[in-house]
Amino acid sequence: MGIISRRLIAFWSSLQLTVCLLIAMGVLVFFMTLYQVETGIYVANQRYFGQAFIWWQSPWGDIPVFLGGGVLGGLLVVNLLVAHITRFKWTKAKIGLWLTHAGLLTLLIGSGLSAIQTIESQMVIQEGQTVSYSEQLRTTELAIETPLSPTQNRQWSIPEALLKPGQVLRPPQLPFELTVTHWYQNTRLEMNATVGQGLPKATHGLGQHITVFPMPPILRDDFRNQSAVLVTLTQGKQSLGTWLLSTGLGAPQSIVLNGVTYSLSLRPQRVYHPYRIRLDEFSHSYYTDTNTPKHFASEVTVIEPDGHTHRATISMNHPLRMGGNAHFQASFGQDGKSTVLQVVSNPGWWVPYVSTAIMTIGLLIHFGISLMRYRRQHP
Amino acid sequence: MIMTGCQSPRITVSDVPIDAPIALTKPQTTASWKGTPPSNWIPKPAGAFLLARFDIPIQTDRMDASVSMLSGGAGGLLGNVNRWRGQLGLAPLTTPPPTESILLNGAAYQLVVIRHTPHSMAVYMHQKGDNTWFFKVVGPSRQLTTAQRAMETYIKGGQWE
Repeated sequence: MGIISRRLIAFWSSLQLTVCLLIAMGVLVFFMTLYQVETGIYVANQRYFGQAFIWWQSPWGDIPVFLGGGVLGGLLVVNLLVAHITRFKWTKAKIGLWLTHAGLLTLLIGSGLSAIQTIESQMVIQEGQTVSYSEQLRTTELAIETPLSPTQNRQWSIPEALLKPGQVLRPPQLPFELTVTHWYQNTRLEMNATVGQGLPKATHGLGQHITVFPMPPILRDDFRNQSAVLVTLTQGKQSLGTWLLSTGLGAPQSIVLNGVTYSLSLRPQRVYHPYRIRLDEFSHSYYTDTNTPKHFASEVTVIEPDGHTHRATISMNHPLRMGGNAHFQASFGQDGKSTVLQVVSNPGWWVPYVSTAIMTIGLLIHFGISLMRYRRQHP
Repeated sequence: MIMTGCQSPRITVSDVPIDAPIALTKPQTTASWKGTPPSNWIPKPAGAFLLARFDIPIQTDRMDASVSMLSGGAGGLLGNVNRWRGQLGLAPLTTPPPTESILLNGAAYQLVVIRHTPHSMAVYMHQKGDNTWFFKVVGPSRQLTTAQRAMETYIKGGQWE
């Protein structure tokens, strides 16, 4: 083995690297905690753990100033694996240590996979309403729907990532294509505005009366940007007009082609579930003389895909787990007759439990072996 | 798992159920409002969101008056106030502002007044059935009080059906 290889292995397996990475992780979490005071946990998590680097927006462009949490975690995994392969020997006396590190590896790798796989969305239901989907509030989709039957629609979902100016979209089976002319992350919409005459406008639909004023995106957990897109529809070489779609416009807009109605909307990205949930009753109470909720609960009926129904109560700290999703009581409407459920799909939910159990067993074995060794040496 | 998590965005086609509301607890109620605007009010195209829209000429200025209706809580007081503040170029609030309750023709209205320069706004909100109605005047700040009086007269002269 060459000297370079030996040095590389020594570097990647060193305890100093472990300590440095752990300190770096601590520094990262400290600054993330400060940042999340202003922005909230989601935005801070995206900035500090969702990217390879922490970027500083300087006057000369974005400059990477620190490694992201995911990269640091990955380096820790590599460090631990290389150390085990090259330095730790497989002996009975070390079984506790091996188990502890195996648990740690499971936790690190599982956390990374969970971060990629977890989908969080919200289900808003009014009393008496039955809903089969939840909405991801941080991403939008351009949705096109056409009726198939009295109970079903066919839906084309175009994710926000494809809504780039100049992008030509050809959804399969649709008789028209869409060209994105403008995309705005955040906007202010004004009807019949007397200013902003030079701004791009729709030629068809609601947007003919609306001026779109671009606004800087706001990165805060408690704020929803009002996104908007201008799309030109064409059928063959014939233009069907330019349409304004926005999350600020409540109802979809329709276009009829060959007797078929297609409704267009820009909305939070939907996640459809195989089951449906009906809100039978919502109840809530406040602490005396305050606006702080004391207790709120949703009495729901779950309608399974095969038509079977069963009733459930979802309340604070008592989620409904079903179909791989956990439904938490998150909030409620101001009218007191609607509920907001946080729907969390996390295939790796078991990882923290299993890894913690492995680490606990490993530490118990390790300390037990050490204790026995001590007692043998000091009878 | 990693592969599915890193999929590139693509257009998806699916058949989805239509989620229709089922009235189990209480039937939805709707009401409509009919009012005759003063003769000097000039009707304007209402647009998609509005039920009626007028210009109110006051001296050399014109105030914009409108009537609109939204279902349910219509996004709540804070959401609406911040939307209106945005229309006047004001920053959003984090807590709902104080409002005034007034009686017009026997019905209670919640009055929100947003003063700014050069334009100000007054909105009379009224909950009727499951809907919220908005009677709004907006325009040059110096004419707001006069426009409010005109709007209150318009509301008092109207009728709920």
